Amino acid sequence: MLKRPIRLAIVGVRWPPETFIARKIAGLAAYGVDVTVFTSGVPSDGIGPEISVITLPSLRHKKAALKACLSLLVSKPRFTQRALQAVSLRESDSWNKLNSFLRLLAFANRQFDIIHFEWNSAAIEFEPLFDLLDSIFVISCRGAQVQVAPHNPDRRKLADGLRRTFIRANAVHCVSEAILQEAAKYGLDRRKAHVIRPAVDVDFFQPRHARSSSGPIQLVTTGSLIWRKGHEYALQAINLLKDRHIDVRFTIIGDGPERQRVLYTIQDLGLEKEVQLVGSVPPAHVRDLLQQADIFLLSSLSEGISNAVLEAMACGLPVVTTDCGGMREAVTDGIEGFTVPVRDPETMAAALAKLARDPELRSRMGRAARDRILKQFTLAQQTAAFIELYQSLMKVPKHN
Amino acid sequence: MAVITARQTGANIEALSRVGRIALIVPAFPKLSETFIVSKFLGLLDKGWDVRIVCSTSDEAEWRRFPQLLSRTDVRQRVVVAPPVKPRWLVPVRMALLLLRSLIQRPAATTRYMAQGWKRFGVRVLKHFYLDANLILAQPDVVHFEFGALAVNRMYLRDLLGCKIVVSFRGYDLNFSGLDQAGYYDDVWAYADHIHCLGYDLWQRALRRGCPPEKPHTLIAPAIDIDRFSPAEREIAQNIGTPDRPLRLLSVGRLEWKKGYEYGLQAVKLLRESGLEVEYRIIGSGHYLDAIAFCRHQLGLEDCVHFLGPQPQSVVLDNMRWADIFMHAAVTEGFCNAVIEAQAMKLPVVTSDADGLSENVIDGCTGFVVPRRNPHALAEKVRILAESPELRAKMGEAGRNHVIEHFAIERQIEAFSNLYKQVL
Repeated sequence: MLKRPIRLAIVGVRWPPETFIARKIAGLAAYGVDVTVFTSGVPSDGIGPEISVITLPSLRHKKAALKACLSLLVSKPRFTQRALQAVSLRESDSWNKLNSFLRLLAFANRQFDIIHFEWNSAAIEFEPLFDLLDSIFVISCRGAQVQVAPHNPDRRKLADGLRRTFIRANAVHCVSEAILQEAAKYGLDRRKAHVIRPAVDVDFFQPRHARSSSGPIQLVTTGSLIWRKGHEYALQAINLLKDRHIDVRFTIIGDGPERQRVLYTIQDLGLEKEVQLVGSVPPAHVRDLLQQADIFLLSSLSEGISNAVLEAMACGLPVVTTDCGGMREAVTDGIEGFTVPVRDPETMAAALAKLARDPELRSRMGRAARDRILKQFTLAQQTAAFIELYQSLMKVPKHN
Repeated sequence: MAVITARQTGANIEALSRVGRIALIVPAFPKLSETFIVSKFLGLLDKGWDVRIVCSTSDEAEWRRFPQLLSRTDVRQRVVVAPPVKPRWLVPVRMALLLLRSLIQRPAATTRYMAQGWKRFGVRVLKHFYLDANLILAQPDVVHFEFGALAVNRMYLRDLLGCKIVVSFRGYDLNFSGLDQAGYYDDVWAYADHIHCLGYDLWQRALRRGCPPEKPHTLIAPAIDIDRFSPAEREIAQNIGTPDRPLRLLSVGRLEWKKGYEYGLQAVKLLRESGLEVEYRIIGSGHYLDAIAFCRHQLGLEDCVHFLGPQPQSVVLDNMRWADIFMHAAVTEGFCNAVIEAQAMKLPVVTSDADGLSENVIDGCTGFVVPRRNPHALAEKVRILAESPELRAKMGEAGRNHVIEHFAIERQIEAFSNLYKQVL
């Protein structure tokens, strides 16, 4: 347990939080960190008794917003005034102005050692906090917001936001070495960057004891139905396997805006028999599906580092993954599975075929995958790394 | 004769004796990406049909992009927009006013609608009335849903309005809409009086989705006004693909995954790796820019691929004169007007075989048709064209002739006119 308590604010998560963030929060709280989560959602149930959750005031809940404003005008006039100034400089639209002002007010009555923005977008959205609060600021770089979005010519402002917040943050957490390098293009100083890779609950995600060797080869993937996951390329690879008379079944776990696209591609390629869309399912069901599978397939075009792959590896599955973002930091080509180039169904199919034809190779790589997770990606390791990061930041004097 | 009358009398549309009343149902009107609706609307008016557009939204800024609409005084009042559903508290007031107006102007039709509707929907008939009031006032002989998905759950109109129903299928409606809902189009197949498909491929898809083969149907391809496409200044460059004169590729279309831009970009990368210098321009806007821009970055093509955003027709035509080859890598496509336009501009086309595209482009004659999702095949055909100015010239000529012969607007309007006569 901690000698000196850490008062930590987690800012900018949805409710309920993404599983990997919830896992991190629970891990820290169990270790004695005093965690407060700020979310724009309205929590119906908590994630743990020792974690306080605060809904950010917004114009959608007018009464609560008004109450917050009035009480703060009286108790913290200086903070309120500075917050008002900050937002009026940033936003042009008065609705946005009011909303971001209201969000800032949630921080007025509280003291934190560390403010951790779980997404780059949150750091940009709450940028005035850097001036308003006397805390240590940490930003997490997790993937698309650094790797993808800034390349869109219509989103140049985002690149500027990344630059500004990287300068102001005391430390920047990157989920992989690859994303650190990408973030460096937007001015991230390597000396404040810390790679802490995601973690898996290895007691929850466990290998199944015996795999049956009869019937078709079961492939599985987990990922939202969005373009970044490259499902269209995976389906082409499945189609190539079918052409080579390899009997496979492919289960896609996840839902999203491109469901139609996936459905169309399945129909267009005539894979109705081979491919099954199970939608979004609870973690226990995900685990069951992973345990029933023979190979995990990741067809992504961009990843910070895929939590889905880590979970599959913990379940002892060999992995075929595209070589994007930090995937090589979890999967070594030829050890825990195979890495293949992005947008290349032929190579992907070849790697899958190799595994499909060789049960011995599958179980060897599956064991290696589980071992790798136990060695590098456990929750205990992740929690310790964050605590160490927070403590080291609290030791050094702030603001250079 | 009807043409002259329509233009001269302008405002007084009731006074004209017209062949029949037609209501075209579209989501929004006018729309740059759906210029074909505008052309069809004007063409049918000139043929003497009493046409109305019934839409959910009509954007003032879009109107300004259509000089052919603004120059005519008789069209504005023919476009009727659905009453707003927000703010909700105003809806009852609006509904009462509409009901009053409808009862005064169309007493018989309104009574019929209410009586029939009550049997079918009970009190919910009021909700339907609110959205259908424009149709009751228009009293059409034919209601034409311009996109298949719009017709779902609307077949009751046949009884309530006593009209005929025509449904168009243009691509996405058959390819995606309701794919995971069994029987999505069953009521359309059962009750629509006539089905229109853009091409044979789409008709086949309709059959696969449960349309009975004996259903009355007509295949009418999209069309363009050939006079608005003058390729005169297009010249065929001799040595292209060099740093001095890169190969100029062009694509025009909304930025959506359906258009398969990523496969086109992969083809560009392959061409570059084989030593050909390329400049690739993409005209269009859409929410898929994130993905396409990322793909451009990932393939290292930032220096040679340019996103021009949405552009008016004149700029599109300028770019069609600029380009050597038109590339269209769609994964699924109804028919694609941009490809027709490119052929009209004497641009050789390299296209995927998605849906209607293989009916649009004659493989080996006006361009090349390659398997969809296949960057290698795209690159190979582009290369063949890049290396031969003669072939580009020949295919360009053939393309324009093909369009004049098969996709002229006059023929299309004639075909629709015949379709409506047949239905009536």
